[in-house]
Amino acid sequence: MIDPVQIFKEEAAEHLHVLETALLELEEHPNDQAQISAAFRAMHTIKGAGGMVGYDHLSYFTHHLETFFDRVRDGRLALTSEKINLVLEARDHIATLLEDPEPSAELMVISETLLRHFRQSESGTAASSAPSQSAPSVAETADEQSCLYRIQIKPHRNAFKDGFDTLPVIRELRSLGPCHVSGYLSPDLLDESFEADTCYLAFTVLLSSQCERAALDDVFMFVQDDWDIQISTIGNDEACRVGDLLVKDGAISPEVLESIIQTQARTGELAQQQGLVDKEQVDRALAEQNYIRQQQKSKQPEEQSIRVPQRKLDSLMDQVGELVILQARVDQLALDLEHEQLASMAEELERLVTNLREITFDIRMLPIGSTFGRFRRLVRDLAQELGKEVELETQGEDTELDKVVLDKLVDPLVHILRNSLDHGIETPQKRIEQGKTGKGLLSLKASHYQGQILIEISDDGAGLDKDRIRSKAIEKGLIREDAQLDNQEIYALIFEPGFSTAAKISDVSGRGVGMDVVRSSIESLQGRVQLESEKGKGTRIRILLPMTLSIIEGLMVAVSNEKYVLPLNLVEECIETSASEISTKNGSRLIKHRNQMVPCLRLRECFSVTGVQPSLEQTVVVRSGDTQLGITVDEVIGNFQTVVRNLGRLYQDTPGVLGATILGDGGIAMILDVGQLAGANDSNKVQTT
Amino acid sequence: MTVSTEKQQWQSPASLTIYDIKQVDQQMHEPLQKGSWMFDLSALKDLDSTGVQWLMMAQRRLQKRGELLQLVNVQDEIKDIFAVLGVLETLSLKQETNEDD
Repeated sequence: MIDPVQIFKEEAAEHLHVLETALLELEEHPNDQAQISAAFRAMHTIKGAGGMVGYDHLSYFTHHLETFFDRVRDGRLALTSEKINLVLEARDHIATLLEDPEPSAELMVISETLLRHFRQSESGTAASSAPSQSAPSVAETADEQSCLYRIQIKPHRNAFKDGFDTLPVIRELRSLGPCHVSGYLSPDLLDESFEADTCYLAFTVLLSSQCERAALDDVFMFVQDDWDIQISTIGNDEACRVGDLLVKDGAISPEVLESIIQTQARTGELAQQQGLVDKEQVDRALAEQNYIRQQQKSKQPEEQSIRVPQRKLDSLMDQVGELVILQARVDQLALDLEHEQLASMAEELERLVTNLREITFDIRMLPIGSTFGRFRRLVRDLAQELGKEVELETQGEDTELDKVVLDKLVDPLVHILRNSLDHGIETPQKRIEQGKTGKGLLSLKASHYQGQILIEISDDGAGLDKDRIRSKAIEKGLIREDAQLDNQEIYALIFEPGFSTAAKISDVSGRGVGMDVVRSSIESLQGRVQLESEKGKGTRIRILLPMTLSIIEGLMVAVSNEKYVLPLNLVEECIETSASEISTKNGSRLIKHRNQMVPCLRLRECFSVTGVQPSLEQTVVVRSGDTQLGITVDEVIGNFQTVVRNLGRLYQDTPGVLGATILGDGGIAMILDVGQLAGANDSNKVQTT
Repeated sequence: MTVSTEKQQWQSPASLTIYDIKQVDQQMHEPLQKGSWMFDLSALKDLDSTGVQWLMMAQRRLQKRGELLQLVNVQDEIKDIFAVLGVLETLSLKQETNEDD
């Protein structure tokens, strides 16, 4: 059984994330009602759930924040950057309070200090209600659901003369949630009796809101004694027929409706034909009907979800991996025995295993937005610390990655962002001197690219100084003074261990332990990192990552008796080649492919495979990032679901190999690291073993 | 405020609020008894519920006689008020005066 306290802590962490995201949005748009409501709900839920699992002090503390956001929501309190800073501080304090249901006296003092600051910031407008230490009711702790209200407003005939206007009232109702308003003239108004300053207007408002009834009553606080206000709720399962709406509007009586229904024709049309209602009323009722049905449709129960510990998902993935290997063995057995029935069962098994594998993958995939969200606070706080103004722009938050990849991606991304903020983006004054805007732009984008995930981090800061990088590299003995390096090669030097051009070491970055760690972390995820920069314009770092690491779709190839697997998502084409067609340039083998010369390597030579080279070979054209490469093999066997296994410490650094997989016959096939092969082919660094 | 009986076109003043509406209603009561009308709201800046109500009443009067009222050159701020009060669909709005009926 899962510990309810653990569930609460996990959920509270998510609510804190929601609160932080909302606050950072509100910093830009202080009147964003959706974000204010999100912050309120987060505090409301932590308060309620905390009280239920024994976090009384936490519940007490968050009660004040809930009250704070309630006042902001009602417009009684304006959000300033000072208040947002204070709430962010309180958010961090809540994260600490979550560690222990019975906090130390010191933590409780911090709580009181923060609450005093809140009271002070509210400049004399003390909290409206006394804090309650008791656990809230179950109803209060439940997540608030929006409710569809039907509000019938008939202002008093003297409303205008008394100085009231309907416009502010309707506007205030609209601020509570999505609305459909029908304004109309009283049906019993006669032309001759019309007086311009008498109110004949009436309204039917359909409001979808998370607000409680009391909030609606507040809207009519000053007019409720004179105006006719009817508020009712519309259930999700409530039928909404035009006839019912006409009855509710008072246009026809229920008896008349019943008699019309007997005729089994369209109620609205019939009521109009019989002169009981006019077209305007029917149209209005139809518009209401349409809105209610839309709202009811949007309120269909959301898909249920459950919380599962990660170790269970990892275990499931391991079992699926074993199943994939077993399936390959059954395939092989069916082939060896030439058993038709077994072959048919193997085929069925393959279909089921493929489906199971895809479902399991899907469960483990998470949108990268959850990670991006964490960086907003980091960027904000760091920018303030460094006296810089920075806008963080994010794109592609919905892009999904395996949770394992995502978790391991956080540290490298933090390093890159900190570097951009510390060394890349200049101070506002310096930027203005250079003709830039005072506020720097830091961009974080995720997208699908050639079957992989591409993450781009770019800034419009100072860019890299090639000369400084070069001289530092010479000073550190990384390159010779006469080394001929192109831009890419110079930029690549910053990924070397111990390299840093920062004049001074700061808390943020500059110890030279960052970028090499970034590269090794990305490479450990079978990813690639590239850097482009222009002095004075900015820097762009591109990270290419596989979507998952555990099981991949592979293309199996053979050289003599050795089997190899290429990640299928990188394969562009397979072509037949013969040694006579191949030309060479600067020591590289080239093949002609679709009117282009593509660099090519022969796997037999890369891995010193013995045996006779066939006269007609197969070349698999692959693409890694922007690089195209031909890999020449003896034979292309076909698709293979590949369970990636680590090579172990002894072989893990073998160039060009990212892992191994177990074949159906119990043999082993190496999984090729195409990016490394392509890079090595460029610099002719592939070592033969 | 100008009234043109030939073209059945009326140029709205800058304000149609409780302070103006009584006078506007008195001036327009007779002219609105004949034919279809086009109200040019290009000059209209201030509008409150009494103004909206009067426009709706004018439309109802004309509709009862089988005639039409069209509102033309309605500024975005005014459209916003119509939308807030839920009368945008009820009132017959047209963008330009030279549009076809």
